[in-house]
This record gives sequence, structure tokens and C-alpha cells, in this order.
Amino acid sequence: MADEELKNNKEKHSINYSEDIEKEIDFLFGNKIGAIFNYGRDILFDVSPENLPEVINELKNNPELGFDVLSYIRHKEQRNFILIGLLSYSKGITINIRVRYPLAERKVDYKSVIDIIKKDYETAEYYSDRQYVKDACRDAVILSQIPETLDSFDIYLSFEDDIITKAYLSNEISSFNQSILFNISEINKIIASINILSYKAAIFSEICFCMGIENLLSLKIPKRAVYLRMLLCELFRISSHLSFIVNTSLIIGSQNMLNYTLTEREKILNIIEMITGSRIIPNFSRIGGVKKDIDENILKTILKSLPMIFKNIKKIEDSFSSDIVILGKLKDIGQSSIKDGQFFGLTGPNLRASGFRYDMRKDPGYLLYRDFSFTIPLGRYGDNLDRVIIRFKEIYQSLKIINEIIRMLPIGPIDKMLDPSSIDYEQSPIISSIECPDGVFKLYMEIHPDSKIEIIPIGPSSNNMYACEKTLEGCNFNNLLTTISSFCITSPEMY
Amino acid sequence: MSSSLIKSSFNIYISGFGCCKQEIIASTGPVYDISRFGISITSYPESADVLIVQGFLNRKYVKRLLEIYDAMKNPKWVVAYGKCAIENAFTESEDALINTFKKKMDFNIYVPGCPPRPEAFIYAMLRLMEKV
Repeated sequence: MADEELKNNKEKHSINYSEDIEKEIDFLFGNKIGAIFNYGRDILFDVSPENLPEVINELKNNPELGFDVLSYIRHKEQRNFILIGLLSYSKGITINIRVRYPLAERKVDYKSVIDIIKKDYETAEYYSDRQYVKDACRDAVILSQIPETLDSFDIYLSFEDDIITKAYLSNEISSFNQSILFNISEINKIIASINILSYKAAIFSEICFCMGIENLLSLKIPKRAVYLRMLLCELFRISSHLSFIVNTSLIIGSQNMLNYTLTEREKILNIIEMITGSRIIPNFSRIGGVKKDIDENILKTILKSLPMIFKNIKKIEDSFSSDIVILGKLKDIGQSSIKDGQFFGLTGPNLRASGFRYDMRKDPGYLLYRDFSFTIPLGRYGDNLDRVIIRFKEIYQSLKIINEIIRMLPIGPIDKMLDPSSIDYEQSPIISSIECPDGVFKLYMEIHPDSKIEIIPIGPSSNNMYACEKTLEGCNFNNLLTTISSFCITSPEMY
Repeated sequence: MSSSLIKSSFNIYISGFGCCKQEIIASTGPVYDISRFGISITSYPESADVLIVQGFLNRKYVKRLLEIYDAMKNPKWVVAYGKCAIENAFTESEDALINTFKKKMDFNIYVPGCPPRPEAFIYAMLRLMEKV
């Protein structure tokens, strides 16, 4: 009883906290902003371009608000708004500002908005068209490579001897035209195609989307469905981390590690296939629940295989951290401090590798992660080795969570039996966020009257990319590829 | 030579990025081990025999793909792997560049699926070997 009371109090506290900030913003800005939408740890409001400098300045410099990190800037050419995300690590809250231009103007003055933000947030420069940096970094141009962590951007470098003085990563080749996909999509059809937005762990974008719509409808989904979602999340987290280790081994040239890791990944993919019917793209989550229930025999099989998977991955980790050749290529290279990480708004294992505790699963907590006991692994030095080892440690925690989920899986319905096409949706913007394997993944959604939906993905990869550029300065050319791959930059999230 | 399991060896170049690539990489692992059929991955278009077209393609990448294709030495083959490459899921179909790309590249094998399984990739490569 006492535990439950404590949990309820904690929940209320976190809700009150974001409500306090909402009131504070309302009090400070009054008529200068539009309606405020509060989605737990995500607050969204409209600002006109004229009022933007004042609002940004206040949010940065008011000690009671203290939103000192620029998390993202997203701009879509076809639409008349720009999205700006400001993050406070201490409060764990993101303020999302939608700078809306009058429809008659159509064209958004992106450059002037960047100039306004640049006055308070230095990192805004990274979101502008940095052609001058590209022109300056012409000593070496490395085009996209085959390994997964190097395939979606070109690398422009300038040197002094063999030390990199400036680096520029260009994602021009990977920014695909999503409007073709999403302008034709209806809500009930979109889940099947949304998973490519985080293709390394496809379940996360599905669940993020469903959570957003459920938030809008104030739906409480069955406990068994939540547990199944968490089970899939953790399985995909392991699969994604193993895929990261595969790519690191490929770049280092360690064939042994590559083969061992691929074998273990196959086991995880087989489990995912047993549950969802597909290895990579699950199409498993639904608005109000999940697609299908899980068989008792499958649960037993998973439980049986977990100790063996743990043992084998532990062996791989031991080899990784004791092999002199691997250590020589990873240790004390590409160090990124907590300050650097926070400056670029990093989240996920790349930030935790520097030693800063920030995990959405624990605080504020989503789905039902608070039911389980797990720790957040932290690194110490923030170098390439830490970014690999932390992923191993996260795999162990995920295995622990999976074990607990299966043992505590409640009996009951798995779906709310909703027909998404028959629901009248409120025409309001939605922001939904989830802790995906590489950091916090967000979806900004707008539902149109004909139940078509427009989506802007906000992934951690652009922050990773900018932090990586900074880390590369002063790095030896030999360590270029290992350092870039350790930041795990994936393409579609960057948008 | 006729008794050998391997009729000819293939160097493949995987272009692009996306979920399909994960399955191709998985086929190189010990579980599927595509190398037992004499198929290996190369990073240089000049030494590649087969170009795998997969993943999301934008205008800039299509241009690069054409350059990669030109850099490959004859004889060369092209495999369209996965739904995105086959159906142009993420490209504008009326785009002139895409049409040039489709005309210039004579696809030898289509592997459907989203993404196709590693077995499908191995099967496609073996069929291509038979054709050759």
C-alpha cells in the first residue's frame, strides 16, 4: 500500500512540475503566445516571429525556467512553421516552440529565425546552411561508406599534418522526401510505414506514434498490452545495440567479434520474429493496444534462452575490453565530456557514456517502466570505448527487464478494440517522445480534418552528428571512422 | 571445375542505407554465411560485379548511384532489393532523374519484401549465379 501511495505521489509531483512551468510561461508571456499544449514532459506553444526573440531570451535567461540547451530545430519547406525544441536537463522537460507564419506568406524565413536563436544558443549555427564550413573543409572528402554507421553522410575534413582541425558531416544524401509518404497517409494505415523512421529499432517509432494518439484521446491501454510493448522495446534495444557492436567490429576489423555478435543478434531477431512475425519491421503496436497476444510456450522459450544469451554477450564484452588491439583503437580516443554532450543536447547512451544520468525510462518514466528495477549504466571518460561498453551494460539491463516482464506479465485483454478510422480526432498538435536505443526520439504530429496526418520526426541523430563533428576536432585521422561510428548516426531521423 | 559448388565468385557492392542493409549484413554472419557460395562484400565499385540497390533514395543519392554504376567494370549486374528500391517508395515517380536511372540500370533481379529475409537475398544471388 505504502509503495503504491509513494508511486502515486511521485506521479502527481512530476505532473505538477510541468503544470507549474506551464503556468509560469502563461504568466510571463501572456498574449505573446498561442494556446499551450502540455504532454507531460513536453510543452508546446505557438509564437509569432515578432515575439520570438523575447520568448527565447526569457526562456534561456530566467533562472526559474532555465532552458539552457537547444535540443532541435526542424523546418519543413511545404509548411508555414518552424519547430524549436529547448531542453532543461535538470527538470527533464522540453519546451517545443512552433513559430508560425501567416498562411498568406507561405514562405518561412528560416535564416532570420536561426539568427534570432543564435543570439542565445550558439548551437543554432549548426542547424543553418553551413556552406562556408563545407568549403573550408576540403583537404579530404570521404563519401558514404558501406558499414551502417557510416552510410548516410559524407565527411569533409581539413588537416594539419594528420590531426583533424575541422570536420563537417553532410547528410544531403540521406534527407529523403517524407512528404510523399505522409501526405497520403491515413491514421489507421500509417503504423505500417512509420517504422522506417527508426529502422534500426523499428518498434520505437510505432509505439511513439501510438502513445501520441492515445494521449490525445486520453486512452488508458490494458496493462498486458503495455507489458508486451515494453518487452518488444527491450528486445529491439538489444538488437539495435548488437547491430552497433557489429558495425564497430566491422570498422575495427575484428572478424571474431563480428561473427559472435551476429550470432547473438540472430537469436534476438528469432525471438522478435516469434512474437511479431517479422524480424526487422514489426508492425505490432496499435492505437489502444497491440496487434496480437503472446503464446505461453513462446514466453517459456524466451525465458530459457535468456541466460545463454547473457552468457555469450558477456563473453563478447570480456573479449572487447581485454583485447589489446581493440583497446588500442578505442580507448582514450574521441573523448566527449558531459559539458560537450549537454551543449549539443545529446541524449541516450552517448550522453550517459560521459557519466551524466539521463534516461526517460527512469525519469519521468513512460509505459510502466517504474514497475521494474533496473539501473542506468554510466560511463566515466566518454571515449569511444565507453560508448561501446555502455551499450553492453544496457543490454544486460534490458535482459533483466525482459526477465521481469515475462515473470510479471498480467493476464487480460491486449487491445481496446478501437477502429481508428471511425474516431473524431481533435485538431490539435501532438508531441510524443520515447527513449529509443540512441537517445530520445520525438514525433510531432498534426491531424487534418480528413483524418490525414502529418508527421515530423525528431530523432537524436542530428545532435549526435553535431557532437561528433566537435569531437573530431583534434582527433588523429587514423581514428576518424571509429569515432564517427561510435556516435551511431542513423539517417531517417535526421530529416 | 564442374564438380565445384562455386561456379563463379561475386563481389557485391551494397549501396544506400536502410533496414534492408541489416538483413544483407546478417546474411554474411555465421548463421547464413553467404561467403560459402563465393559471395563477398566489397567497398570499391571498381572491383564489384553486382550492385545492390536498396533503401531510401533521394535525388542526390540517385546521382551518386549512377556514378557508382558507371565506375563498375563490365560485365556487371544490378539487384533491386526491398520494397523501397522496387516501388520507389521514397522518390517522386515523375522525377526525370529517376526515369533516367531506371532506363540506364537494367535490373537483373528483383527481391521483394520489407525487408526481404537473408534467405531471400541468398536465393536471389544464387539465381543470379545460375543466370550468369
